[in-house]
Amino acid sequence: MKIDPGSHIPLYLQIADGIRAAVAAGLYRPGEALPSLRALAIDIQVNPNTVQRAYDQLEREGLVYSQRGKGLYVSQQGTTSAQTRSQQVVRRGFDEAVRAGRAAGMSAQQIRDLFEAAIHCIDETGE
Amino acid sequence: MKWLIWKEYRLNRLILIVGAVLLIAPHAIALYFAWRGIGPPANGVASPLAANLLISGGYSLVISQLMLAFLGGHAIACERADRSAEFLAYLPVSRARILAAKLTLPLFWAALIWTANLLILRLVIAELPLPGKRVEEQVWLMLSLTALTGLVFFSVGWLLSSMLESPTFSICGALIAPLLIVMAGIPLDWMNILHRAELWYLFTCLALAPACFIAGTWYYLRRVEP
Amino acid sequence: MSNQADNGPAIKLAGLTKRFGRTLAVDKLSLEVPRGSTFGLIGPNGAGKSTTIKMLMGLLSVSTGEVRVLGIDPLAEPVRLKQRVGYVPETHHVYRWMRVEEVLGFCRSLYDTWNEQTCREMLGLFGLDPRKKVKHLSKGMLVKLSLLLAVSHDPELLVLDEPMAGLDPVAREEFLDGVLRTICERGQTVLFSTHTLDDVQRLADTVGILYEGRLLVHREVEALLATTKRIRATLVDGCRPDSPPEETIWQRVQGREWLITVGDFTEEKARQILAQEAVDHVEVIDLGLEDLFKDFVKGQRAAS
Repeated sequence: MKIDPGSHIPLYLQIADGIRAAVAAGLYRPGEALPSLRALAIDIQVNPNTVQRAYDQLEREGLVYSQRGKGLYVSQQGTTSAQTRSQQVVRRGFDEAVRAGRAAGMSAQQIRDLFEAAIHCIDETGE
Repeated sequence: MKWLIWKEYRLNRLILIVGAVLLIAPHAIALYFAWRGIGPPANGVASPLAANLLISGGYSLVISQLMLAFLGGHAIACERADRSAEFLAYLPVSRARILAAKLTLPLFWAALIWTANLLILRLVIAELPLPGKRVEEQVWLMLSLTALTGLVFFSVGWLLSSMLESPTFSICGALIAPLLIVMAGIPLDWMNILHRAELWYLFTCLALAPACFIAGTWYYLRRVEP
Repeated sequence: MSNQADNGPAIKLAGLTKRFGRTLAVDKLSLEVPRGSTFGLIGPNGAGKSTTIKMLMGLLSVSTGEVRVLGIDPLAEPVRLKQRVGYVPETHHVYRWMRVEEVLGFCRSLYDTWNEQTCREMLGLFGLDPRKKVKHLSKGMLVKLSLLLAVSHDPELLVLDEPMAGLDPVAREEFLDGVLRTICERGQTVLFSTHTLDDVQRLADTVGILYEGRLLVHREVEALLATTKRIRATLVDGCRPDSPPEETIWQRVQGREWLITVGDFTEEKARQILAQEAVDHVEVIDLGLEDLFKDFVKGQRAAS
């Protein structure tokens, strides 16, 4: 998982996003355990409190459930939930792009055109 | 406490080695001369061995006092000079314990030189026919002047060491302290205020040594910075 | 009595002031660090970070004000405090002539609580050779030895004074590893100073910005990031801004661009600017910790 301490996005959200993406991608399947707080904290070199906050967030979303004394497990609906949340992450990216466009004084139509062009471009190179 | 004393020993190892050489060397030379049959102008009664040892014992005792200036001046300032005092300050050890550990070495040293040399002198003097009470008095005076000089060396060194960052300055200060006392006595002697110069020295030392020791200890215990 | 102290904050400073002659190094600093939290103290060089930390550790006398660390007055009971606090100083003065194992033995003999297991683990983790002399250790190794000594007595509070300054990336990672391990295992309170904002993001729950001996901000990192924003307004031709909004941290006018960094940001503030000032357009920019820190410092410099 890659985190960027220089970003303005709080670390715990970055971590939550990272785990969500990992679940959506099938790195962790429903019923499987997430890495322990300690292991993840040391692995990505972040304060365990921050990782805890990310885990709390994911638990609140229903992506994972905790088993007393054992740790966190991906819930049955975890994968789908992760995918919907991933949509929100994509949405955040769009929001930022639209805001940037607005700041540059573009019209809604101009932004839409750029968006279409981007999809077109990525789909073509992706194929 | 064991480790603290071990640390002090390691910090002062060089001084102790030099000190041990200075303690033993005069006796070794005396023994060597006695073995070769060389001695002070024979008064016909004393054996060359006893006569030589009397002289070497005196030398050894006087020179060993110098070591007390080194030990005293080095005691506290040496750790400030290389800033390891700061490391010690992070550790949970009280100033009083640090000082106690620092005191054990000079105390041990003083005990060693005095017992060794007094023992030798005692044995030797028994061998020598000393005429009259006057000489015995002289010997006692010499011994007490030597002891007091040692005390002044140590306590002035201790005080300076407690206040300064440089062990060199502390040691030099300690070494010239007895000279200063003597020099301060000279004008008094001229003015005929002093009847016996050695008594001036004796009493000044007697007052100065404890004062410096107490002041140095107090200052170190009170100081917040390492 | 000790029970009461054990429930209080790990660190409490009230009006702490330190003068060196006529210069004011720390100026009426008040701060509370709750137990179990990690507090990052940032500030430019000479802001008073080290001075503050030295006063916390009882290594420097206090001009005025009050210090309580784990409920203990560092000047009154330095030994009791040091039994319970681990300290990694800015510069390392471990006896250079000792071997690593001798340093360990020396320190072990002084602590009431010494955890030999932690000590062995850290030796292994850091790859420190016990037979090596301290003077032959590299800077990175020396810092790691310092950390090992600071955590091997299971302290309740860990104080790190710019611990990672001058470390190469690998040593830095290993050091962070060591710190995080002890935080994970014991949930101890940590106070560290740094001028690397990456460290703050990674380690700190709460951050304090120190500038010329004064604490400019003291907040949770996330709350600070969430509420401090930069507003970029485009001024109407030939107009100057009237008055900056409340809680302005820093501002700059350059041509038509008016940049304002504000604390306690709300959408309302941006709308007010648009309504009250001669501006065409307002944009809100999120700030990373680094920009935010710079704006605080620049704002103070401009004010003084």
